[in-house]
Amino acid sequence: MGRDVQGARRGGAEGDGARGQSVRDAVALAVLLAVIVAPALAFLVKLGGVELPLWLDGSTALYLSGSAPLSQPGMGAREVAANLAEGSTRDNVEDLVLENVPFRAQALIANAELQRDAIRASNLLFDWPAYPCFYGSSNYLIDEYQAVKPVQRSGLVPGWQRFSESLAAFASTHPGTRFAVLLPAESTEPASNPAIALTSDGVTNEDMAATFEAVLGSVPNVSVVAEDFDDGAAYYDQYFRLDHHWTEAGAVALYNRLAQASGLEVLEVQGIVEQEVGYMGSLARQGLVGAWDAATALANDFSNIRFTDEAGNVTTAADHSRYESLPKIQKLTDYYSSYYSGLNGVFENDEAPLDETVLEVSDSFGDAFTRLVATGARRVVNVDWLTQERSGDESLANLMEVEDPSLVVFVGTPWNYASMCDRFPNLFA
Amino acid sequence: MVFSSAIFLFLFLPLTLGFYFALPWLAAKNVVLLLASLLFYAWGEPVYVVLMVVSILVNWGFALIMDRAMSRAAASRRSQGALPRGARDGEVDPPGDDDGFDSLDVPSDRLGDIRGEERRARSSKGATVALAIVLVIDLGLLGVFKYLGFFCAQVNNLVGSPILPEVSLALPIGISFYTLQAVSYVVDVWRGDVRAQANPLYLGMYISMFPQLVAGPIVRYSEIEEAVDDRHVTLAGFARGIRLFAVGMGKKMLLANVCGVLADALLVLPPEEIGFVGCASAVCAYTFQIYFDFGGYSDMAIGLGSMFGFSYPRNFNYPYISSSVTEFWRRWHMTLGSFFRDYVYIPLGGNRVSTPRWMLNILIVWGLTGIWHGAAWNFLLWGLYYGVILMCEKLFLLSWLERVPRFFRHLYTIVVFFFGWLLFSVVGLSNVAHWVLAIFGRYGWLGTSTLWELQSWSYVSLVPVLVLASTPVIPWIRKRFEAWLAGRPAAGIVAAPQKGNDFVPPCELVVPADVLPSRRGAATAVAILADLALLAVFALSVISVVSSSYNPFIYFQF
Repeated sequence: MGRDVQGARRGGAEGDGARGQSVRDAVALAVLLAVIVAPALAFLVKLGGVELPLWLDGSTALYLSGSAPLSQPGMGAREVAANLAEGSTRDNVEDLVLENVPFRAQALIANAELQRDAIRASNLLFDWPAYPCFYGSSNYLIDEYQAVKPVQRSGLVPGWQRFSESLAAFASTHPGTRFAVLLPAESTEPASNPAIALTSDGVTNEDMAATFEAVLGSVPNVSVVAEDFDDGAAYYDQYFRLDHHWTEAGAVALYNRLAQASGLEVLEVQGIVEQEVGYMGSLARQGLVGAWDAATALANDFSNIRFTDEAGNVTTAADHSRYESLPKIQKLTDYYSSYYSGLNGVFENDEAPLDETVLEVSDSFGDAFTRLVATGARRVVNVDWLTQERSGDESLANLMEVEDPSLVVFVGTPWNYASMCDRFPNLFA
Repeated sequence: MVFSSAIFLFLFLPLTLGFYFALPWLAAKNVVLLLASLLFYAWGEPVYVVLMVVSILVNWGFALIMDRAMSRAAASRRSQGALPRGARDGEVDPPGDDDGFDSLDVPSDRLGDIRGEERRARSSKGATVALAIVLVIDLGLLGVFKYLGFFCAQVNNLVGSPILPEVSLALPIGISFYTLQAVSYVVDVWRGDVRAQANPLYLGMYISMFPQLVAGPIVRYSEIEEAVDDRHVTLAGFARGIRLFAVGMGKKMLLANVCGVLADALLVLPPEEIGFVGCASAVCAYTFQIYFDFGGYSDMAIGLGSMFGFSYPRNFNYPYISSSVTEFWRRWHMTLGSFFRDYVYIPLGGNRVSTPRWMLNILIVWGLTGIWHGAAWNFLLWGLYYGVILMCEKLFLLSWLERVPRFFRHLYTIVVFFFGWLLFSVVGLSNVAHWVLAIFGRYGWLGTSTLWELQSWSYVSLVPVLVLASTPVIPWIRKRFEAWLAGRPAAGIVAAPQKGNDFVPPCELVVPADVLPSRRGAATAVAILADLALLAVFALSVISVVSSSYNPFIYFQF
């Protein structure tokens, strides 16, 4: 490439100006090239078996969305090609490029942070207590608690009514069994989540409990166990600030309410342990907030509870080997689901005071909850049906026939209750 | 594939640049561009790339037929001694569009120049028949894919029963743009403005050229004819391309996409739910979104063209500073305006006909402009809306406006294009009335929403940035600085004149040749600062690209 007439015009054909312009042009070219070839270089380096540091590796960003990289350090070209050929090659190629863009995780968070700064600047005029994490985000940053929360809307109410009506009908045909619907205050506690009051149709845990109570309150063998908090600070003692789940301390609080309502033994908290690696929960990841909570769990000893998973593997409820084996980045982004024993399986506790079987139908809120129930009941069977979409012959009645529970506990998020009957039409068949 | 995607930026562009500059021969470079363009298109439209290839071949073939028929006619006339000197093998007038960015006004001496004596000498019935056939094919393809479904649905609605089948064809991306380019090419060949391109690969490169393939600017063959056969990429030209590309990417990623979040969220909601604030902020957001989206795309296209040695025409010239609708359309989508002027309006007689016929010509052009954007009543209404306003301006409004202070002229223009974008963006003609009512307060300030949940408030800090970026404030500063460097008076500098404006990327400082020696240091320092500012914009845009999911340009849908 040579210089052109315009280049000459910019400062005269001779002189410092023209030379300076050429240097700046060359720098612009170098910058462009450096940017556009960086992912290809990173990819080649990884193919060569070199493990890039987490802050540089583009695939780190995948942990924010919970997906897996197509290329790993040391993976052969053939292996990468096989991964690309799986599913839509076009999409895979696009993903492969993205996962090799250096600093991508930082870019994601920096981009959101920039937008958040613009939103904060706008908020100087309004002083709202909560604002979106970035433009278009449905998660809101709550400055007072440095927390991120979504808002549950009244559109969920018909789904809750449908769930309640279906359960009421089902419970009346199983009068010998007790049922409990647990309503964790996931983002619905107004003092901890001021965004609810800023919307025209946000719902609180009080609204949610009232909806369930209106239908189930008159059914003798069903109890609705809801939460209430004195203030926002109390709430954040029991719920992660940056994840939609409760901490195990929060799970204990609701378990003890269940225990009081159902004759299970109340559990005493023997302390809280904090993991070395923090927890960048789902709301931090979705909201692209580069912060994390303390990853905490109960100090109680759960080693006397046997856990048998669906494949028949037997461990204990105190076994956290899966979590311990994870790389740091996964520990950081996946603490809640990897620390606890798992969802589908049977927990058995020979020392439990109540010699009965409890059937727990849950979503991920059951992760931290089930082993608590197993401190009070000899046998707890857990199924994660609240997260499932099922159209086969499976039903709660069939499962109850097999397991013969004296107590059936539902524990899940507002939106899972609301969509349950659509996703699993035979649940109460 | 879109420019603002990781796959384009980090795979397609480096590979294309690599192959392009690795090959020393122009012919090979042209083939690289053709293949790259086909891949670029096929990435998003694996089936319809065949349609584009067919369109290229058809236009290539018919243009050759026309050219040969015209050459034969010229030879025949020459043998009869009826041909003036110079009207032989394609010695034609240069393209007549030398009047800057006028979209519809025809200079009084222009029609006479359109077809000169020499062109008439080359005219041939055979060529005219070939032109008619190829136009039927080009416009027929566009009609089938873009309008047939709409037409059938309207006929069925009108009759009240399904007498025509329901047609639902996916619109091939970019068909509206490459069809216009193909039409301009064959018409220019027929007019004798350009010679037919004998090499189908080269014509294919022109029609499918990836920088401008899917959303313009609409480049006429005459504008790149020389570059197809002979072009040189210079460091300065390449760097200017990079700077323009960076500016365009900034407009798209940092401004348009952010505005698009608000527009997309609110435009789908019923106006009674969001009230005046929601509706007004939705249309305002869309107003900025479409300008920065389309303007950004055009800048990126022109920048990419420059990197490969092509000089593409400017498409936007700060339209939102206009003080009349006539001026607005000289500054907005300039290549579309000039296409309709040269290929529809002037052939219809332009303004050199009776007043009623002139008004009809305007309505025809604007009806076509509207419907070109999409097969929907909204678009037709949008086009006619501008047609009527332009008629009024030409008949009496412009002369009246000239007596009004400039501020009010701006205000008038802003109100007109605000409602224009409302017509354009609201889905469904029946909704338009509700939106207009909402703007006039029918559903209260907020409808049934709260101010917080409308989220418009969160854009308040961006408004000054959006407004400033819509105005030529940076060129204004730059021009004044350049004048200061040369010791020239700064009075009378117009940052974005309607005609003859040299298109320099914002932030790029053009150090004048006659810079005062004492101010050379300042020139260098400011030039470096300008480049650093552009680098920051580029870095932020890249960050945004790798943070975003698929976000196509608005004009892809047209």
